[in-house]
Amino acid sequence: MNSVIKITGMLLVLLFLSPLLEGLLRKFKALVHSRIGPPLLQPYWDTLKLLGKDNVRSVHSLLGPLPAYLSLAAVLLAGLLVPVGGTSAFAGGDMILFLYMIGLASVCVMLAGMDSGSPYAFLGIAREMMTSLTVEPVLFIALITAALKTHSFRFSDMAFYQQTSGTSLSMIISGIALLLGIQAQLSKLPFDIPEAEGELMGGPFIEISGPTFSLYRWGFIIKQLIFSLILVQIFFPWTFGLSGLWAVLAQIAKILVVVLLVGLVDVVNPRLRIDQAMIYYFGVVLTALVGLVFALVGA
Amino acid sequence: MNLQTVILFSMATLFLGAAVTLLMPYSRRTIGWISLFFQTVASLGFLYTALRVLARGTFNLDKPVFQVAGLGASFLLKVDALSAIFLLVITVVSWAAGLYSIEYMKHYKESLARYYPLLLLFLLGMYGVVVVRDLFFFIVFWEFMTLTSYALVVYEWGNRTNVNAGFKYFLMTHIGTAGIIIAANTLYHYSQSFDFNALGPVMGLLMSDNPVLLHTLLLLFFLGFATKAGIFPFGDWLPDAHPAAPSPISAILSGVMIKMGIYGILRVFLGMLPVSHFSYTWGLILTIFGTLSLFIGTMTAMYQHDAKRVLAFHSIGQNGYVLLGIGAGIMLLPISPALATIAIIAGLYHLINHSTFKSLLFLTAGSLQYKTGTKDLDLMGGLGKYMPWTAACGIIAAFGISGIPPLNGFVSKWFIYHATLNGGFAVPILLLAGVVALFTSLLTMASVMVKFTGLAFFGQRTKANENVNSDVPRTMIAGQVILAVLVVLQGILVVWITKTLYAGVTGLLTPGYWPKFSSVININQGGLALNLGEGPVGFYKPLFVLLALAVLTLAVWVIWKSGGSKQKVSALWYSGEVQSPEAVRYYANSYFKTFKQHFNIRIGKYSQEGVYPNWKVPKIHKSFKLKHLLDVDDWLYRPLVYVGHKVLEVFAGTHSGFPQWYLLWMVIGAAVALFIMFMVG
Repeated sequence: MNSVIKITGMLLVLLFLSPLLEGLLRKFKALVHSRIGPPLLQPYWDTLKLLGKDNVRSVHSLLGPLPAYLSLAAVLLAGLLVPVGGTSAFAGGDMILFLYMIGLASVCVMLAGMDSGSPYAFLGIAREMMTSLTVEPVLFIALITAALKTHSFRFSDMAFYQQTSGTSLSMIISGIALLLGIQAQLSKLPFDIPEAEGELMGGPFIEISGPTFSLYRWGFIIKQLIFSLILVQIFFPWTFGLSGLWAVLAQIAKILVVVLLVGLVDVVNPRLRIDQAMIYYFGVVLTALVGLVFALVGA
Repeated sequence: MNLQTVILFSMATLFLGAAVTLLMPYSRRTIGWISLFFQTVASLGFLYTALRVLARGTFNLDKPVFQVAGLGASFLLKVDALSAIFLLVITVVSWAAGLYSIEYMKHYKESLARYYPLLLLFLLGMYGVVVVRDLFFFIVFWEFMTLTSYALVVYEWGNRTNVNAGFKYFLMTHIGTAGIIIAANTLYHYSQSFDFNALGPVMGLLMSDNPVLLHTLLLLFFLGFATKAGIFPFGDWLPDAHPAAPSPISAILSGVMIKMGIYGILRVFLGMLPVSHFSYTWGLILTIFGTLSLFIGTMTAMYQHDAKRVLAFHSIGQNGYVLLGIGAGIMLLPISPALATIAIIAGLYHLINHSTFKSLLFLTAGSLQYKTGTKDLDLMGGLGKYMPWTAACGIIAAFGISGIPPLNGFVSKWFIYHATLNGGFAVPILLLAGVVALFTSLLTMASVMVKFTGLAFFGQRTKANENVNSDVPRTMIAGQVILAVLVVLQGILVVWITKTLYAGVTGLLTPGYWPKFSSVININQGGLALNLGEGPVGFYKPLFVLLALAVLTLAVWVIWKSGGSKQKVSALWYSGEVQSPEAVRYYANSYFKTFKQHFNIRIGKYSQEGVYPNWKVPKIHKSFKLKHLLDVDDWLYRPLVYVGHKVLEVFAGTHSGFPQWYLLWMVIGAAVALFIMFMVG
């Protein structure tokens, strides 16, 4: 029964609290641009409005909105595996299952793009896949480093590790690599190459509209929370000697810092070309590998 | 019923079937059904054998069925759990391929007398390899399998590329087999028996007496089996031979036959070689080649645009995963039996998974070829709408090979990652192998999921396949659906499969060596939890994942539906212009170009695209005399035919058609006859 409450609670947080984070981010971006910006609750209104709009799909579509359902479901399941306060809501949080759930979500986006049959979508998908090919390794190498320190592949164990054994150099390096990778994981500028609104008109999403599109957008917003949680809970779980409610507030503050950092980079950078981005990603992968090597020698 | 009778009867059925299909001049479809009948009878026999062995334990024949006294070989049968697993793989995949063949083979012009008999004999060879306990007969059946499969690869012998591919296959596997034969004979010199049970102690003896010889023998075995298994760089025949064969044969080659190499490796390196530092060394070698193979094979698949060539390179890659699991297991045997068990189960699990999803993908490629008449992915597109069954099965297989939960590929990859990464805590090289394997999984997703299915089934229909309006015939669909269902089931029935594989693995060594099943893998709620002695390290519960995904998908659907939006369909948006599908198509070569550029090889002046070595072998200019000598036709047959022809032409000249000439011939003839009579008389 306890686990049912936990799972439901986590689902509610993921679904209904993550847009608030997006709202804050938008406000922050507006601040950097010296604009007033949309109201804090704008992401909620956007979703509601999109849900009521006409659902237009391409004539070539075979699967309809099916990939959208599956994509959001996969993101939510991945979210259930993420540790919050040291424990995961679902099945002990197997790291490999998490990686593949994130993978399933992006596969669904690609399926949806292919399904629409638009050449812009195909171009976007190829870029999305290339991005995945170079950015996902950062995620799993960083997590393997954590697993190597913890000797376990459960997120629950990983989240507890630093609290019991203190921090280490390899974890910090991996954390930084992951932070550098998040930008691309979330398709934020300068790495929004797959969508590239000005160039590909949304890439995989060019033919997707209304409620179906709102599901993908929601998925992205939830992913933003998931990655910040992974980073904060596993790699930087410091509570600065605080306890109780203050510790929780410290975690939330750290999540905000991560999201605003990502937003700041997003807002001050123009989009890179895919080949430029690729070289940057290889550098990030290398950083993550350095972390792994440090972990191997015991640092 | 006695299992010996069942096995021999099934083998005899295959023989009889080969004879009948060879001699019966029926229509192409009827002969297919006749062949399938014999195949089904034999399959039932072997299915019974396999299930009985799994239920009641090893079947081991003490007395040989017959002996070849002069050679010291005796026909010994043994079916343990490992053999039973392979029997199941052979039976299921080949039956689906057999069913698929009936309609598929109708569109070839070549005679079916070179297809069905050889197919049945090919199956006989593979069945034989896994049920015998005698190295001599193992090699006999091995050759049987190689020769028949060679003949099937060159089925379209009118096509020069296919004949060359077949020759390459023939040559490379026979060099490998030569190694196995030499090793077998050397071992026989010491043991005076080809019995598997007698060879193990000999290896133990050689380990202290003559380690160099033992290493050489193991190397020969490794080369022979790795060549068959298509492991890079020994499996260079594979990317040429698989596309050359008819699709059902490609499915069997890739789904079953290359697994026989893995079977051989398991028998020799795990069943015969005693656990020692030799296991560690050779396990390391297997791991390295497995990792190399999985990376290079999968990476190279990204450069291909021929549907079957993409899949053939993936066979190299996926068999690399299998070898990685098994190699890691053999390597970890002396260190940690618990991890070793998980690693070998991982390898075997991937083996059975690969046999279903890869043969399904080959059948999908076959269906595409059947309807469009081409294997080139660039000429396909938008076929999903017209071939829904093929598309659905193909996408399931692509999900399977990419390891998307809850399908089968995920379970085996999950096992492999856990085995290699946990093993990496003890042996860092395994950690590297695990990282490469995880990365390669993404590459697999890119080239099968995105490129193969994307180009073939999605997008717009091109001019080249405008007249494809329907799916393939029903029996072909049935063959694909059987495998697709298995891809799903293997991902769900993890507990049963893992237990079976555990039985298969543990049958290979002395019983006391392996840790108890329950101490390594905890089973709860239809799922698995790995335990290496310090509490669980990883969980996978397919039913929970499936249920969670289903419930969440339903919940998301409710949200999607809640707005009450109207459904509309619109044409594609090309920035306001009208474009033909060909003009705006995203072609196979364009996929991942920027990414692939980083994996080109440049050594000094030499540069090439991709990581697969494709340098040309320098042509040997044979001297004219040698070539002349080798070509018997040229110096014996053709001159004789020429002379004979000339002589006969002279006689043909006598038939001029004028009666006067015939009268003259008669007079001359009479004169000659009289002359002879007088001379003799």
